[in-house]
Amino acid sequence: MSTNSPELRRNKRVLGSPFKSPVKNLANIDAASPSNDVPHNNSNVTSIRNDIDHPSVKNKEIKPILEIFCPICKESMISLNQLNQHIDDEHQKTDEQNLSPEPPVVRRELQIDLLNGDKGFSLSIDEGRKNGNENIRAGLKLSRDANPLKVSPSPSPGAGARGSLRSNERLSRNHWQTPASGSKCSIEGCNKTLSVKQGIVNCRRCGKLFCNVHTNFKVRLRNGPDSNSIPIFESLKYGIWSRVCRNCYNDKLDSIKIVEPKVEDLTGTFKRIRMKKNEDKELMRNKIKKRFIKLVELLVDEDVKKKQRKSQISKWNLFGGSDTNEPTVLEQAIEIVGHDNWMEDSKTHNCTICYIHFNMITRKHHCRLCGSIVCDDLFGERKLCSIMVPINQLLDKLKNLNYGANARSQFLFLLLNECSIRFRCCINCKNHLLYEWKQSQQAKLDLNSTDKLVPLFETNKLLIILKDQIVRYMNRFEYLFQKNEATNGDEIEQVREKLLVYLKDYEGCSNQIKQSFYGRVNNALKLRPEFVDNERLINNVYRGSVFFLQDNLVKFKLLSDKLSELTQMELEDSKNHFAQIEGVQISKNSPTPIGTPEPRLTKKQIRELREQLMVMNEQRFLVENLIDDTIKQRKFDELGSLKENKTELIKRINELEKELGEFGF
Amino acid sequence: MTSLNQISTKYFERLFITKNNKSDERKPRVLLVDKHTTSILSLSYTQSQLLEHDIILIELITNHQNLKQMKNLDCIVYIKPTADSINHLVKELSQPHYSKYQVYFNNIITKQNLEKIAELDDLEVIVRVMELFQDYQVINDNLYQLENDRDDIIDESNQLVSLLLALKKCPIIFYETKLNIELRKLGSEILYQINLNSNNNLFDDVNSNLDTPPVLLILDRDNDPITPLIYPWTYQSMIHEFIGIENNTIALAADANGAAAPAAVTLSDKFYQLSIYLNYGDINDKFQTYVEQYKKETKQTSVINNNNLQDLKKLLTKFPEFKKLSNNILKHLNILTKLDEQINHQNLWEIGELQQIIIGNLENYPLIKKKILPIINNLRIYTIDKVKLLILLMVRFPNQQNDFNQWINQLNDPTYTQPPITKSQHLLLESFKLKKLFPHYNFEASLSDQSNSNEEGGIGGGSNFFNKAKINTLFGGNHSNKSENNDNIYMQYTPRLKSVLANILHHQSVQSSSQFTKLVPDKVNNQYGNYDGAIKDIIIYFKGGITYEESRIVYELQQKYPSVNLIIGGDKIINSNDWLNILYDKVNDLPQSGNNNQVLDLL
Repeated sequence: MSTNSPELRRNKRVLGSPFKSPVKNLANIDAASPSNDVPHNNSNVTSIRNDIDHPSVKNKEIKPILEIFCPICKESMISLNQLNQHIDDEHQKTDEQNLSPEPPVVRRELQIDLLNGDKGFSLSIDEGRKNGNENIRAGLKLSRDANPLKVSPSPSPGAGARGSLRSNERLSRNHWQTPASGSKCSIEGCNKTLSVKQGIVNCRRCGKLFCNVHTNFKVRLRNGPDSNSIPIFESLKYGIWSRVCRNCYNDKLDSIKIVEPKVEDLTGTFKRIRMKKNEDKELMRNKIKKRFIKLVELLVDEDVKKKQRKSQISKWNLFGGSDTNEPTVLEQAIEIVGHDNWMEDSKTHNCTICYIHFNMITRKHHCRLCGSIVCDDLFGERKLCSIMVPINQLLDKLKNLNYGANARSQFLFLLLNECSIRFRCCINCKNHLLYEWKQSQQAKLDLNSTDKLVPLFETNKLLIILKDQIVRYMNRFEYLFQKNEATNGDEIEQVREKLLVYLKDYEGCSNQIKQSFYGRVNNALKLRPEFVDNERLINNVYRGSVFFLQDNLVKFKLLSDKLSELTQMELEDSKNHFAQIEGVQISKNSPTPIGTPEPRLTKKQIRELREQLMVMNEQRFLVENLIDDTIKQRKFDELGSLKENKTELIKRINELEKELGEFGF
Repeated sequence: MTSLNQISTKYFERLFITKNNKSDERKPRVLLVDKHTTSILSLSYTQSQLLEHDIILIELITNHQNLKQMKNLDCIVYIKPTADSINHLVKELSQPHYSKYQVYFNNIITKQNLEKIAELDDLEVIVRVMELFQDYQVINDNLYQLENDRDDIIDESNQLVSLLLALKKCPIIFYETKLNIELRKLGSEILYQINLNSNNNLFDDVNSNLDTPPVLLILDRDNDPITPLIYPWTYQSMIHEFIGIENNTIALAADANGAAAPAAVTLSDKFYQLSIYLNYGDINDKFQTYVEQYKKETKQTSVINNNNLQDLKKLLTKFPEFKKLSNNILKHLNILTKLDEQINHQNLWEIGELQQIIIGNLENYPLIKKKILPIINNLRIYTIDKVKLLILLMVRFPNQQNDFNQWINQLNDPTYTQPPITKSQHLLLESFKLKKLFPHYNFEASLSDQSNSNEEGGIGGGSNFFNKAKINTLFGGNHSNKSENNDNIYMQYTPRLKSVLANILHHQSVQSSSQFTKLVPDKVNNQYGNYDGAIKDIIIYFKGGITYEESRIVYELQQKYPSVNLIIGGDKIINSNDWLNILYDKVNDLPQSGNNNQVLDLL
């Protein structure tokens, strides 16, 4: 076998060999693989393979092949096929890296050639590719002397240090199942006996043996945390593309499929921010409150003094008097706010709240509580930035603060009389000051607000609880029904009865809503006039309950019908059985059975009849609902048949009740 | 396979299903939405679904001043984090009407906005804040639509980012480079958003389970201006073309004889879902069997035996079902009659066939000319159909200028065409004739794209349709028989999208078709390196409008390549009239036609 015509051999293998790697069918990125592997084979292996290509020699030759080993890593192989795949999987990666400059171009040309069936492979392979092949061959020669892993080409330049480390790694195969004659594909239901033709492939992840068809999948893997664990999925670039079985691929797919779309929970962040902001606000509120107390004290004090002075000083002196007093009050006010907080007139040109520019008409004012400069928005054109607040209005709302001595002594007087004491306060401080009062107001409002609807909400609450129960028992019921074991016959009966009770209760609640919120006008349900405000709300609640009831009643009925059919059958079975036994006994013993006075109906019959009655009642409820609906929607053509149904049902119910007689509910 | 509906369902669970098992603590709830989320919710969920989970009231958040105080109720807020909606939310929080609030956003909320809400939640009524990523409308399982009334690239990219996050994909972005600045802006904006780290690093771990990097393909409608002009022959497309689908509902006008049809019909039933991609012949057949099945079932049970309790019971349990079924049948009957009316009215059998012949290169020019002349001269043919046919001819045979001039004149002549073409239509025809409107669009090139991909692998059902078409013309003298797929003369044309996708799927990479520019986010680069291998996830965004026909093509490709995930969408879903209107606008904006009259003409 000539060593300098690898192209020819490759051609043969791809086109003629039955061992064509199934990986190629995948049309995956390793489309180039079948052409890559051949140059690695040393001549004796290839010669064997050529022999196999002749069908006559094939069968005889298989056994000697068991001695095959990989020319690169010296691992022994059981079949040529496995060797091929081994080379595809293990050593192809490194080749690709060598050829990284122009892989896509090469790949496409190769495909065209394959399709054309053209033998002139060498023509279509460009210079760079040839060089690449030679590189590999050179590398291989080296690799025979040294540890092959060390010689594998350096990773592509983009890869980081971590990446390069990983890409040299080999997947662990300690867990691989060793093939034995007659071993079968591990896919359930496949049952193919593994052979060279069917393929004997170890899944690179789980290590079990599979046929070719069921290992037609590629994923990226890397080694597990320790040498004994199986490889794990690795989507990063240093994950090694490896052949896996269908099961492992599906395991992976589960994580690819969107099980849970992305959701970002910001509650924690939000609460943290809110806590911080609210703490700041709380602090601010306390500060403002304290200042307010001091300010009130100061103003009341001043007021008292002023009154005293008024009585002492005659009118002509008033002007001069105020002249001397005013600055001191202002200074004291500044003292309360703090000099640092008291904004300087000269540095401020805009209102701190509405940002309006101050001018001749829009004047600057200091808020006496926070010291910031705000405008006077008398007519509410902007943001009601500040007002002169009469002190008694605030005192009225803040009765419980710890006021100073003066204020307390004057408290009642201040509250009851129209008082002249006012101070400048900005909207923010007002809100801070009245925060708690507003909240208490809100709470009062809440109590009074929804009284008309309270019964609705009460009933609705009940509905929700019942609904939960129904859903839970319905699931249990279905579960038990599907399991259908003789042992849980009692339990299923219990669940059924409970479910029935809950459904009845639910129906009752739903009817209650109907009765208390709707009236009949012209034979159609209509909301009572006093609730028209909340029409949508009530309608929705009622509709929701009716929908739920309908759905579940139908489901319940279907299930319980099936159930009774089943029990019927069982009953008949046991009856037959019993009759047989009895018959035997009768024939053995004296032919005179002891007559016992039987009740008119057996317990079983009573139960069945009751059941029927209940079902019929439900039906009637359903039909009545339907009739209501059709009347609402004015579909009178359907009405006739529905009414007929109803009369039939009522008739049947009467019959049943008669039959039950004293055993009725 | 990625399913948009599945994602919607998951989000529904997130929004409305409480995990709190103590039922006595649960309260009925109010849902506050804004106009953006209303349309998203209404497309994905029904009201009875909401009722089932105790959502007993739905209100607009803009309406917060008129709400009633109801502290017995909890509240779910689901809004798009726009400045407007957040302002309303903040106002509602300062005077809360309900007891506890769960706030959900359908896209990324900025930190500033979050702080703003936190600042104004004095009363601490908010118990949960969450971002879902649902800033797009789900039309079909593989088709989404962005809501883009304003021409806002940032908003557009935000919506796409929300889609990517919902799908958990951090993609390589490819956009078509044909001198369209818009696409480049959009592409780089998305890249910026992905690379941006301030959003809680949302994109960091989304790809962690993907072996191959996903691809976001941004396509330009201008590179395929022909597809929307061709009459579609599959159910969903036809409904959109002739009736118009808005938010998955259609408006059926009252019949001529005054029988009041329901004003708006929702299209979400099972029959519709199963038949959206069927062609007109098949849908009629399917409808027949559907009706027959209904008849059979009702007949079976209509014989009520008074004494037979079982039968009666069965009938009654099935009664609501029957009612639904009969309503459904009526609905589709209405739709189908409407479609049939339109087809006959507009002579669409003839025109549709001619369209396919022209664009599918089924016959040579003299033959086509012979066919087109009587149509141009026919007074009964709609003007708009003549315009569409002429445009197709101009694209297909750009060298027949003389004929075109003559025909345009005939379109202007009231004795041949009634009404004569408007100025915009005239301009449009002229600019198509002179290739002014889409100077970079080359029909022949896009055709040769197609033939290349066919030669190389025979991908797609529409592959080597030239041959088949030839066989058709040779043997099938009469084309009006509507049978399967490719032999159907009305469905010969395959949009350019198919060849683009087939190229990518066939060559396993986008690079090979060089009309794309590639943008790689840092995260993708870190994870996959300079990746140039197989592509398994493609998200397509059609800027400038997508047709239902193209969504069908994606669906078909998906069936053929089950290992690849394909999702498609656009900023709007257009039919031929929408597209013509867009084209009129474009023509009128062309610099050569700086005449004010033409703009007036449009109004």
